[in-house]
Amino acid sequence: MIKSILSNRYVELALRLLLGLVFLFASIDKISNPTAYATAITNYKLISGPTAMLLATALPWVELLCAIAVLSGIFRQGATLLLLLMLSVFTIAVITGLIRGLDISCGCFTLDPHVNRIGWQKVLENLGLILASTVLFYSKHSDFVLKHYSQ
Amino acid sequence: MYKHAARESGLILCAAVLLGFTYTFFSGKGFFARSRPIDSTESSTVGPAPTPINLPDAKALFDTDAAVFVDARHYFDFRRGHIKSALNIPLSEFDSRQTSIDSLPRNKTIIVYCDGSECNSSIELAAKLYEIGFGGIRIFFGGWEDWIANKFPTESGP
Repeated sequence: MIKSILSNRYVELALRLLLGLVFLFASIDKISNPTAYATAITNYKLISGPTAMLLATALPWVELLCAIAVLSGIFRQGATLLLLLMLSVFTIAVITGLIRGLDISCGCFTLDPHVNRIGWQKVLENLGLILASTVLFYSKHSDFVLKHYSQ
Repeated sequence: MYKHAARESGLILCAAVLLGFTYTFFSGKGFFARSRPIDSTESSTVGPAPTPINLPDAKALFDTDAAVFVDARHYFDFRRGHIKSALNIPLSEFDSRQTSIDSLPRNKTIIVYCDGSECNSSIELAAKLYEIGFGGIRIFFGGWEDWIANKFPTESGP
């Protein structure tokens, strides 16, 4: 039954909209302020400042392109694979941060350090998005795809 | 299936890296904003562009009360511990910290620091302060880590 629900074309469309809009929203603030995003990354104390700056330069654009790909249906599998990888790394970073007792901003959707603190709720949210990405990755449907309408 | 997905992922990654570096290059943000404060040769009415300062010199200015220390880290790190009497102006909150910025003295050296040699926020904050007219800015690259390693005066709290 779960399999039939997850393979429903409208459920798949809903997951695409969810993932696409989440990452579209997440990328905007980071693209406009890469320095603040690099600071948010260094706060995890996992990588050095210059490496964080390199990541902050490219990663928001990966998120934006993945969001566009998932929403349009073009390059969907490649985009969901990247989302899976990114979400896994983000989740591991948050978990290690929590274990080390860090009280920092997540740097997920907004770069305001006073909101979106890391916590187990964030881990659960990420696990939900990982599940959605996994379902989309293995989905066989090709409905509501932009290239169908342009032909 | 996996090969196809990996190829698409590679294309997205390449496009993202290209877009990211092109955007930051032309907008002078992020990665390409780093060299501006240190290498700036633009003439300025407020004095020379920010320059580095080492630990002994920073401590000497601290002892003679000839400098104001500005902590570029987040408030949460600042609250845990900072150089004694330092002001907190987190880089990410620069635009909303006008009161703190206005309180910076114009007749003293401003020493900006963050965690240590591997953070960039002191460089960025120094550049921002310089851009809005502050002169005599020094960047203490050793930062908080060097300061506490030498057991120099610190305090915690807001």
